[in-house]
Amino acid sequence: MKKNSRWIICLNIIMGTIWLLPLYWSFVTSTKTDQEIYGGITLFPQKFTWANYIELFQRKDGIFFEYLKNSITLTLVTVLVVATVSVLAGFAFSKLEIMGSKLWLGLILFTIMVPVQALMVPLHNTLSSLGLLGTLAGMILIYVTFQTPFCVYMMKSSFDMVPNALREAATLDGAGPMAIFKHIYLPLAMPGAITVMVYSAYNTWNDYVIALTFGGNTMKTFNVGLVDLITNDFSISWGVLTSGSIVGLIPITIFFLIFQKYFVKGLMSGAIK
Amino acid sequence: MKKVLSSKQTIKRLSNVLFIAPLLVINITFFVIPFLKAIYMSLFDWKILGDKAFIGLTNYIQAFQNQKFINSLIFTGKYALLVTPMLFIVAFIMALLVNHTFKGVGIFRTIYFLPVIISMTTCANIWLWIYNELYGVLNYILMNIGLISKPIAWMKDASISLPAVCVMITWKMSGFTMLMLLAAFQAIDEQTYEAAKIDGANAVQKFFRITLPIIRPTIGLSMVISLIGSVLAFEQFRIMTKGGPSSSTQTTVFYIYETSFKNFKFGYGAAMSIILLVILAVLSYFQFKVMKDPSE
Repeated sequence: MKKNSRWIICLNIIMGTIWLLPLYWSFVTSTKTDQEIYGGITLFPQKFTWANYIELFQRKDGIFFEYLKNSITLTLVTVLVVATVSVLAGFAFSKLEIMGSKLWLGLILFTIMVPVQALMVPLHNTLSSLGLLGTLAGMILIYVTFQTPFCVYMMKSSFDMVPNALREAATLDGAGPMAIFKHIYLPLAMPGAITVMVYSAYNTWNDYVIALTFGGNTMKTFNVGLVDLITNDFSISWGVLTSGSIVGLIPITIFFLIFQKYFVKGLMSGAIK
Repeated sequence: MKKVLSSKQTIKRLSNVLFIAPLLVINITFFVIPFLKAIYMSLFDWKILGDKAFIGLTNYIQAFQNQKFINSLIFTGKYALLVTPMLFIVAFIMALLVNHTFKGVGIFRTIYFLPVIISMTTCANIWLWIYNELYGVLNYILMNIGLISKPIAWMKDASISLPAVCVMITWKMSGFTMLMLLAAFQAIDEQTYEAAKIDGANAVQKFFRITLPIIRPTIGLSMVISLIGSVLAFEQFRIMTKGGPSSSTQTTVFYIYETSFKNFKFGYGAAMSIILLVILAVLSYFQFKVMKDPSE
């Protein structure tokens, strides 16, 4: 048995190393000089430098700061809107009497199954007729539309787990509806709410399709800006491109390491639905 | 008295609707209406400027006669059918590797899951550098161990770039399937194994007679999820192969995007989107079937 588990650990170390190598390779490339990058393969930078990062952010008067700002703003606002909308709706579907709630839940379930990629054309048309193409508001509304359905279901099942007896007891103690919501439901539904927020942040920060189609030239995100560099600019050095990769993955990786449990829950149930 | 009560009830019900009002307004404006509009637009010759002419099903007929669209469907199908088993096999091995209790097993689970949380654009970029023809580390390694004598142009030929992109996706997504399988492994009752052990079953027998049959629904589910994801493939090819050479690696979503937003044939793009939706509906039906009936 002991011998067996030693083998397992060895295999894990091999596999784990393979899995980290692409990330390591990008990072190490981003800290090398052009001369070294194009002069052969070295496992460690001979002359460690941040020059590629500086070059990335100095491009076109700091346009990448602009892209980064757009991505951060979009992510923060989307997360807040998604959380608010889905906590309210999830609570209502779980605990309140609502006209046509079966119909609405059916609609939400249907929305989950239609990916945004299949509605790019009419959405472009809708946004353009509302004057929202290439605006922060337009993009947030699209993110919210396609993220809330799953989040509403997630919140509904979180609230479903709060027993009604708790509410009755609080009502008997003289608590009003607002107090009940704030002191009884919200704390118990918090894990669900965090899962929803993590799911939303992940999807917004990592999005490419929505930003590409509806952001136009005025609301480019970091991902869109990075792909522009890769596909349009052939003079750009791989040092700069890899530094772009590293900048893009660091925020979400830190976020993941902090909220790992919620990430796994949100992503898994988000895919299985 | 009764009347007062019922009108009070109505007010309460109306105020309840306020809780779901934001959701409904957004959903109807940006989902229901666009969804119906997709069907409507697909029946028109809808360009960016000029009159929209009703042309019935012409867009659909044209789509099925358009070799480029057909090719994009075939290519997407090939990609989905290649990447799904590749990813599954690697994920299965991973799940077996981390389905143990030893110190630090959590670190390995995190490492395998890490690429899942990194954006597709970043992952594609990372691997594009590895696959670089002149300076890429992969050609360097393969040449040094003598597997190849001259550098391979990984992204310049569809028969090479398709598996190369699949390797990237396997690296990115196996952690996801691994966690699904791991959860299924751990849901199996330990006593079942104990009983089998008493009956004299060896490890191989236990695996094929107990583990596999119990986790079969999870296997099915993970495969369907991977198929649906692959049918929507876009960024990885836009970034890594740019759809080339001569559109040979253009996926369906990629082609719809170009038709709609590069050539501005909105009606035509909408018709092809509806065809894509039908394909997805069929796959979702299978997903439901796999999830609903574990004995299937």
